[in-house]
Amino acid sequence: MSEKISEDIKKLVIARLETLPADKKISIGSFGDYSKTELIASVNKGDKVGKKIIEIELEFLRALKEGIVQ
Amino acid sequence: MAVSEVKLGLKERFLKVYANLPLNLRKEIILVLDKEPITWNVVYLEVSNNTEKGSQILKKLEELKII
Amino acid sequence: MTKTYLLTRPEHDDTMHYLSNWSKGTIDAAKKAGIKVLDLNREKATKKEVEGRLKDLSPILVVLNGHGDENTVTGHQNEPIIIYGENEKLLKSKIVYAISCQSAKVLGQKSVDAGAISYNGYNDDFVFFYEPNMISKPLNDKTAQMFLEPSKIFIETLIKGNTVEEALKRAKDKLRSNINRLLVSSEADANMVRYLLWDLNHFVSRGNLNATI
Repeated sequence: MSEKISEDIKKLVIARLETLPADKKISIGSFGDYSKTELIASVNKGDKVGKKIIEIELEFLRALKEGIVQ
Repeated sequence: MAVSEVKLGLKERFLKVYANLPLNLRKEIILVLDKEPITWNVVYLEVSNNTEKGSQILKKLEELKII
Repeated sequence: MTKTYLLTRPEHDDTMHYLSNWSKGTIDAAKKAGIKVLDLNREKATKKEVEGRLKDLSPILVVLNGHGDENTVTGHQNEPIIIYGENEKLLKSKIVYAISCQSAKVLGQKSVDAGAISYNGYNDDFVFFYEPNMISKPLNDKTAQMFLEPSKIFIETLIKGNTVEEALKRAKDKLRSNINRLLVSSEADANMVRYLLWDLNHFVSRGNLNATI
């Protein structure tokens, strides 16, 4: 079950990353600077950066339950 | 708990989250189902019309702990 | 007695280049407030230089820009400069702000345990967006501004004599207002909300919230 959820999460995160602006880069901690394409590749690979991006996305999505408007 | 009661619970939870979502965020992708990206707005449409797809989506959203 | 402010500003990659430029403005704010500034820029942001200044010149406010992990803050070329278990006691009696990934997770609390008045930073990775075509003018980068201006506000609020708690509040209020602005702007911009929220949630303070410089 958890593997299936993990694949679902990967697909979701990649679909969401696809909507990021292409003309910007993101600096992620000590990992370095990434373009949208590089982020998507990392999520596909499941490397440390990919896992961090998934964590950021899930933290956000789950925070929406509590309400983001303050 | 009956299946219909479980589904109602999920629908209520979804609608509660959806109601408090800023308008711009409602256009964001919330799930990929059968290779189709689905936004909050599309989920709302399915759920508010009580479709089978809507039930399927709600179960997935619960699994992912999004609702 | 004149107060002293120590600031490290390595610039060896894009991230450090941005952090360095965005914290540079706090130097003027400090000078205007009559605070002596020790600006360790580029290759001066080394362990030897930082340790020397901390020991000999007793800055009350220490701002560390650098990569890091839960036990470490680094400087020029990622040389570890403050390391838990080695020299965190040099932060004794200081208010520290580390714009450095994860250091507030372990190093932060351990520094306070070793006598730091306050340690402020991030208990996970710090992330920000920027526009690559603005790399030569980072202060004109409106995208990066949303992420980096709150840090500048935090430092300047402390420089003006406010408490750590007030500085934290002003910085976080700025992050929240940036989030709210993005939520009603274009869809493309709204995509960045999740990363601003991440930084907001992971910006933490250890030690005395009522401390002032």
